[in-house]
Amino acid sequence: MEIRSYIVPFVLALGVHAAVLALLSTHWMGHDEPQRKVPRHIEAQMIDLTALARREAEQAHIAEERAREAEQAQQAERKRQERVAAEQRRQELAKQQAEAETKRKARQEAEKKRQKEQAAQRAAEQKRQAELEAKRKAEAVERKRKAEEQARRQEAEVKRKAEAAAKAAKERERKQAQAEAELKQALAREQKAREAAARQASQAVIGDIQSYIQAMLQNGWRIPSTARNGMEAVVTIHLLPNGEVDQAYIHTSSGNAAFDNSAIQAVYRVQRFPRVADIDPILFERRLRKLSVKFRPEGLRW
Amino acid sequence: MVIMRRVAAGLLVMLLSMMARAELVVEVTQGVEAPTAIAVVPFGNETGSALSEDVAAIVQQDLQRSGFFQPMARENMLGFPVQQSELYYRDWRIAKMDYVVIGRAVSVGANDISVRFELYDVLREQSLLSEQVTITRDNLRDGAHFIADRLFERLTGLQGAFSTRIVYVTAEQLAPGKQRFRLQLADWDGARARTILESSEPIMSPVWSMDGSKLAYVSFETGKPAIYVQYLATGRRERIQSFPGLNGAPAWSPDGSQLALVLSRDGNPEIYILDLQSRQLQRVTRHYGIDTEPSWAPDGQSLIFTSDRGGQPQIYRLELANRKLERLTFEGNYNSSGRLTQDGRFLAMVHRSGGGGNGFDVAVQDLKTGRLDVLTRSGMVESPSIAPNGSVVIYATQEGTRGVLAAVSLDGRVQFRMPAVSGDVREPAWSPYLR
Repeated sequence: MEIRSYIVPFVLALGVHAAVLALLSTHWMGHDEPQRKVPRHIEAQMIDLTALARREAEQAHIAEERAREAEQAQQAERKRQERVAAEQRRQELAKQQAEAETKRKARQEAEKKRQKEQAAQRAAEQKRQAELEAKRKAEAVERKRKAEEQARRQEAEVKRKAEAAAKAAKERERKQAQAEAELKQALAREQKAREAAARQASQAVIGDIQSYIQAMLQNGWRIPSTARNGMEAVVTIHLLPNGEVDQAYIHTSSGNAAFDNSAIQAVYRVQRFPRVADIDPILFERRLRKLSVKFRPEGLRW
Repeated sequence: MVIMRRVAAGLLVMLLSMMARAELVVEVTQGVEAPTAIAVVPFGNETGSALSEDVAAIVQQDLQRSGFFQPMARENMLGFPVQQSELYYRDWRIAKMDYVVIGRAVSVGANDISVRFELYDVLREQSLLSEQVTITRDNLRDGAHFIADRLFERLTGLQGAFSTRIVYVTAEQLAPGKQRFRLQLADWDGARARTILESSEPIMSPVWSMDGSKLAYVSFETGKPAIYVQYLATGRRERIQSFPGLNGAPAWSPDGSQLALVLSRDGNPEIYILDLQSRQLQRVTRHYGIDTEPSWAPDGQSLIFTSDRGGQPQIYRLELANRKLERLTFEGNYNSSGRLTQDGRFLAMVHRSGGGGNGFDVAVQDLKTGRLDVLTRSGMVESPSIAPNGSVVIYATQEGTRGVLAAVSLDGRVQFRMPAVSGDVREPAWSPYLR
């Protein structure tokens, strides 16, 4: 019960921790946010060579028109001018070429720089990513650890609980077993007592029935004239539960036919021992279904 | 659960009970000392003519007189079955019978009849014996005694003695001073008596040889007592050498070669043994008292005799091999005429107990325990003689002024008178088993 009462606070604490962790983590993320959102771009000057050519052609066209107007007059001029123009053009071209070169260089530079920056950025990004990754990993590890811990804890808890339950169960079992054992003992004691009582009772009953059977047989026994003191015949009697004689036969002969006969006859003369029918069936089975009768005359004349 | 527990408990009890199982033993030491109840149903007669004897009645009487049986009176019988199909055990059980005998006679040829007899155990409801005997019409008594013997043997394990005979002496006073003495031979029950010797002088002490072929007796026919041997088959008689003085009380040795007798030729009565072959006489007692009434032990090793050497008649035993003398009777002031049963265990005698007024009675002493039982209350008995199976003692007694024969079973249960014969009857002697 006490264990269970910790669960709710524990969960609450866990929640608070998680909330704080969440808040902090967004804060940490915020520093990286602008870098990622606004990347630094390099302003490159694009130079259109075709446009330049087109303008030169237009200027040449204009010059031609002027030349045509003043062609003859200004042939020389023109020629010079052409040369100048060509020079100029060459210079211009060279300039343009140089400019283009520089521009290209610059562009290359810029490109390089950009690439460099890009690389740096990539590296940074990578680094960040790595860091992120690491962080994530760490977080994951942490989470995992936490989860594991949690799991462990839970497991431990479960285990503990299970153990407790097992223990309780064991205890219960033990108690039950003990109770059962006690009950069994009590039962055994009772049984023993009952048996002892039953034994005593059955002994009494047996004693009773023994003298009853003896009396019946003594009434039924016609001692023959050939009987002598010291003669002894043992007759085995099989009784039926209703007390009737099932069969009787000589188990041990007296050596005297008439004596043996008289013993058997005594049993068959009685034919039925009515009180045997009242005997408890188990007792009957045990002691009375088959019994021995010793015919041993006492106090005969001889 | 509860049920299972109960079952388990039950099993446990059963197991324990199995282990504790000990056979119950009941000891029966007392009983009713009563003769066996038997019903001898009148035999059926399918011979077509009346029979001269009631065979079943003779059988019944034989069994009853042995003392071993108490037959059912005919008038109490509910029916007279003559064969098994007519026999209802229940009826006889209700009548408290243990055994039932039924039988029927049929003619065999002109003069013979065959009697089938069957013995049933009422209580166990089974047949114990089923036989038949063929006899001539005028020998029905023999047949009856034979049947009684068979039944007796089957039920007691002892050989029946109903086919044995007795001899006895009768004396008649024909006229003053004129007497007639007869030696008579009869069935054991006294029936069919016939005279085998008649004399005007006393006949005494008849005794059977062990093979039942001859008798020895004392006759005064010559005026002096002399011992004779008479062969029953031929009637031939032989006088044994007689000696001066008293010649008396002969007794055959079991092997028939010797005769013990009493002679007074040396002064007072002493016991001698006469070898019948060599005629050698040997004196075996030597005392100034009277020694008389010798009788052989069944094993032939010793003689018992009566002697008054102790001041009053008592019975002694003499070992023949070493002449060792032993007094057997101590109870009473008079014991004589001792006879041993064939098993040598019981001694029958004429006994008078101490104290005045008591008469002479038949007593039996158990030589094993020394116990003595007086069997009769007649007061005047003499000459007891025991049936060869030891079941009955026959003796002479006085009825009024007349001597009669009577018998008592060895256990004293049954006592009966022999059929009346004319004259004074005395000195009966029971034959051995006869073939």
